[in-house]
Parts: sequence; C-alpha cells; structure tokens
Amino acid sequence: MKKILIVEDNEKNMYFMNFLLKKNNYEVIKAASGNVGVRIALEESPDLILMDIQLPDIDGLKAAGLIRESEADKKIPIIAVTSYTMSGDRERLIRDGFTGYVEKPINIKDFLSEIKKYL
Amino acid sequence: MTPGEDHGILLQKNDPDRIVITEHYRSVTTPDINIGVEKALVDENGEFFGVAGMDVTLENLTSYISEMEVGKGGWAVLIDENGDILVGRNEEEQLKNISDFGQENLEKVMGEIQGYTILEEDSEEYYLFFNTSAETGWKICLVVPVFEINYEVWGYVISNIIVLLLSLTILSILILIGLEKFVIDPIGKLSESSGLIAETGNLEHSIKVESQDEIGNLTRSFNQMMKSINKSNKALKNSERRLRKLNDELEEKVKKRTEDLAHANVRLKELDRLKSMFIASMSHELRTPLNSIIGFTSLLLMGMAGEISDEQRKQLSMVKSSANHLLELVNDVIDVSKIEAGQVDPSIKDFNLSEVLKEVEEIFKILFKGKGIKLSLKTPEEIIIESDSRRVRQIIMNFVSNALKFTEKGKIEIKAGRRKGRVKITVSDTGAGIKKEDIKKLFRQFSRIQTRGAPRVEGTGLGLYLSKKIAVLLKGKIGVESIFGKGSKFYLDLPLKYKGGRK
Repeated sequence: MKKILIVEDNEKNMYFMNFLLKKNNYEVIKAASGNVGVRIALEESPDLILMDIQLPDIDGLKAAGLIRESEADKKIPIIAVTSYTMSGDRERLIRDGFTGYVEKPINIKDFLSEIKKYL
Repeated sequence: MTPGEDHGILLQKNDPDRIVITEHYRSVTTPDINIGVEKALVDENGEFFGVAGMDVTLENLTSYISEMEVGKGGWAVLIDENGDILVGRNEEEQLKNISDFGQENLEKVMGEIQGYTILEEDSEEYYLFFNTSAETGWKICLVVPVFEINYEVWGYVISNIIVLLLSLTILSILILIGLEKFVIDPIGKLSESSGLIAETGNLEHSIKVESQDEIGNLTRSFNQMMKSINKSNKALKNSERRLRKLNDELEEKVKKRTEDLAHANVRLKELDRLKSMFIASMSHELRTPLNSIIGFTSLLLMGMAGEISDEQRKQLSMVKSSANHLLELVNDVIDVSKIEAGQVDPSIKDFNLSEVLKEVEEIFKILFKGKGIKLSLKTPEEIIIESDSRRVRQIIMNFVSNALKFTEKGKIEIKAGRRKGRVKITVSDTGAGIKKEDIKKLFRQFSRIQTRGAPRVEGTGLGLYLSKKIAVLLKGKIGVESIFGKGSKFYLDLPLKYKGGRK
C-alpha cells in the first residue's frame, strides 16, 4: 500500500482528501502545519506528498524547499494543492521543487489520475 | 526748462534752501532778457530731486529804459553786476560787455557805485552817469553828449540826472518786491509743499492759490497734478490691497487644497491597501468553503460515501451546480478587482494557439452532448503566438459558454486565422442574437441581456467585462457582430507578438 502524506490545515479539506485516498486504497499520514509536514516527510519517507500552499506557520513553498534540501537521494513527489491560481503559478511551483499541481476545487477524477502518475 | 537751467540746478544742488535768482539770459522766443527764479525740491532725506522755477521776462523794464528820453541826443543803458548790457539803445548792444567797447574810462563804471565818466563814440564825447542798485548790483547809466551839457545849464542837467538815476534805482527795487510777492513766494510755497509731500508721503496737499497770473497757473497745475497723482495713488493702493488680499486668499486656498489632497492621497493609498488585502482575504476565505461543498458533493454523487437514490442524485447535482456557479462568480470578481488594481501581470510566452483551442473544444464537447448543437473548430494545425495562454483560453471559454447559453439549436463554430501580424479567433453561433441597442451594454459589468420569452440565463454578469479587460491586458481587442434572431459572432483579435503589439 502506497503511503501518502497530506499537509493541510483545513479540517474539512483534510477529511475530504483522507476519505478519497483511503477509499482508493492508499495509506494516509496527516500533518496540519508546514513544520510538522517537513518533519514527518523526513521521518516517514512517504511515497507522495500532497501539500497545501497556504499554511499557518511556514507556507507550502517553504516546506517543499526544506524537504528538498534535507531528503536523501530519493526524490519524493510533492503535489501542490492550491486554490484557483493566476497563470504563471504552475511554472513557479515546478521551479520551487514541486512535482505536480492540483487545483481546488478538487475534481475527483483529475485528482486521482494526477496521484497515479507519480506512483 | 530754460537756457539757465543747468546753472540753476547747479546752484540749487549746492544750496538747496535758497531761492535763487539766476543770471540774466536772452529769451529763446523773444528779444527780451529773462531772469530765472528757482527753488530746489528736496525729499525727506535731503536728497535733491528737482527744481521748481519760472522765467521772468524783463520786458517792461527794457522797453521803459530803451524808450526813455535823456536830453536830446542821450540814452539810458542798464548793465548787470558783470558789466553785461541788459538794455541798450538797440538789440545789438544787448548782452555785450562794456569792456568790449575798449574804452579805459568805462573801467571806472565797474569799479565805483556811482559817478560819471567820459565816453567817446564816433569822435563825439559823452558824459556817462551811473548809479548801482544795492539789491541787484545792476547799474543804470545815462549817456549824454558833452556839448549838450555844456550848452544847458550844468545844475539843471545834473539834478535832472540825479532824479532819473534815483527813480530808476527805485524801479529796480520795485521789481524785486514784485518778484518777491508774485514769484518767489509762490515758488517757495510750491517747494514747501513738495518738501512736505516728500517728508510725509501725504499727497493730500494743495497750495492756496492767490494769483491769477502764470504763477497762479503753475500753482493750479501743481494742485491739479497733485490731485491726479493722489487719485492714481489711492487707486493703486486700493488695487494693491485687493491684490494682496486675493493673493493671501489664494495662497490659503492652495494650501488647504494641497493639504486636502495629501490627506485624500493618504486615505486612497490606505483604501487601496485595504482593497488588496480584502481581495486576497476574500479569494481564500470564500473559496475554501466552496471547495469543500463542491468536493463533498462530488464524493456523494460518485457514490463513494454509499449508494444514493435518483432524487438524492438530482438534488446533490443542483447543490454542486450552484456551488460551481458561486465559485465562478467569486473568481470573476477577484479577477476583475485584480486587473483593475493593476495587480495582474500576464504570463507571456510562445504557445500554439491551435492546441489551446482544441483543449477548449474538448472541454465543451461533453456539455454539448444531448443538446442538439454541433460544436466545430476550424484552425490551422499550428498558430504560434506570443501571449498568455491561460488568459486566451479564459476568453475563448467565456465566448463558447455564452454561445451555449443563448443557442437552442444549430451550431457553434470556433475559428482562428492569421492576418498581418495578428490573429483573430471568432466564436459564432446560430442563437438568439443581440439587438443593436444591447450591443453597447454587452461589455459592461453586471449587464445581462434578457431575451423576452427565453428563460433567464444563469451567469455572473462579469464574463464579457472581464474578457474585455483581459484582452486589453494582452494588447488585443474583443468585439461582436450580431443579427438579432439569427446569431452572434464574438471575436478576439491579438498581436502574434505581444512585445511588438500596439498598446
């Protein structure tokens, strides 16, 4: 079973993603802040990380950067989960170390296929 | 003024307090001898600033002397203190000096106050009797042929001569008194006035007019002049005061307006900052719950949370649709606000426009299914354009979704073509069309075209307004051609090169 880390501070979003991923046979680890997300990512080495951008302590960009700095050879796919973004954000996210990108509101089919791409 | 002016001014400068009688000079206009009477005009600092004066013609005196009978062959001569002849037998003699006659005996005349001497002219001998006026230094001379004296009784002639000399002396005194009363006095007053004016700056000064002659005229003219100056001065001072007042008021106003503007500017900047903060906060706060609603409704609709009935599916679909509509509205409002605040920089790069149009066609194909409308795309295989692909897609999707809303049957066609460094993308439909009077309103915010009889179409009222804003941002333009009842054709016209495009 593939292990996915969700870094998300909003309870309902967390519940939604957790529910959806479990239904689709993924193991889920949860982190409600950027710092906790970085720590768990490094400790548990998940197969994939879903990272919210607007977080209470350090934002998703910084968290992804910290993970990229500290992780070993193996690069964990990090997928940004963002609100409706202005154009140009996608390129910036990839440059900042993200592997993929999912836009909110989450389209269930797109969401699952994006995850499958990297696992 | 007069030929004596320079001399007079010089005298006045040296001794400004004195009223000066100038040396005699020949009048410019008549054969008469003139003298000048002058007084310096001095300001409060004792600074010399001019001369008041007048010319006095010795006409009466000269005619009296020249017409005087002195025995049978004699005549009278008036000379000044320097020996210059003021009045002689004729005009030729005038202003000659007696030394010019080259007679030694005449030196006695200048050396003594009174007496007599012998004068020779044309081999004829004359007695010259003279007396000097104490006031002026002028000398009156009577010239009598020697033979006449010898012929007449000596005593009679002498007494006659003495009476004449005395009376002439008295005459000169009278002239001086006249000068004093009619000339020097008024001029003194004139200069007093001008002195007073200069001292006090009070222009309300006039001189009492006593005389009807030229001095009187001079005085009146002076008074007139003072009145005029006074009037002008008052008007000037009034204007100056008004001007200063206006200027002060203006400065006050400018100062206040500047302050107001500065305040307004600070307030505007603050409002602008608040607006940006509001937009940023709204974009997050409004979307987060909507995302949840849409997400969970989707889960339920997919049956992931368990089986649902058809009725539940129908109602959940309505919840999802409304939530999507609300999200669309929120996104449009945020887009418009950001573009209006100049917070949107287009992300410009080369892309294949045909691919973008194909993607749009794919997205809408599903929606067209079962509607009985044909969607088609006509575009060359590749149109490389330098622009913001996401924004271009946004506009074309807006066009197509509008067309779909207003078209019941027929077809909707997306077309693209290059022309002269630009590309034109059109979306035409066979829908309701737009009335001419409505076309102008089309690109305004929250303007919704209502077609009679047709169901109210759901939308944000911001779609075309936003599309127009984006088109301008991309240095392009959008527009519409429409025939009411037959259909509409919306177009987006863009430069192939964003950086080379006109603004």
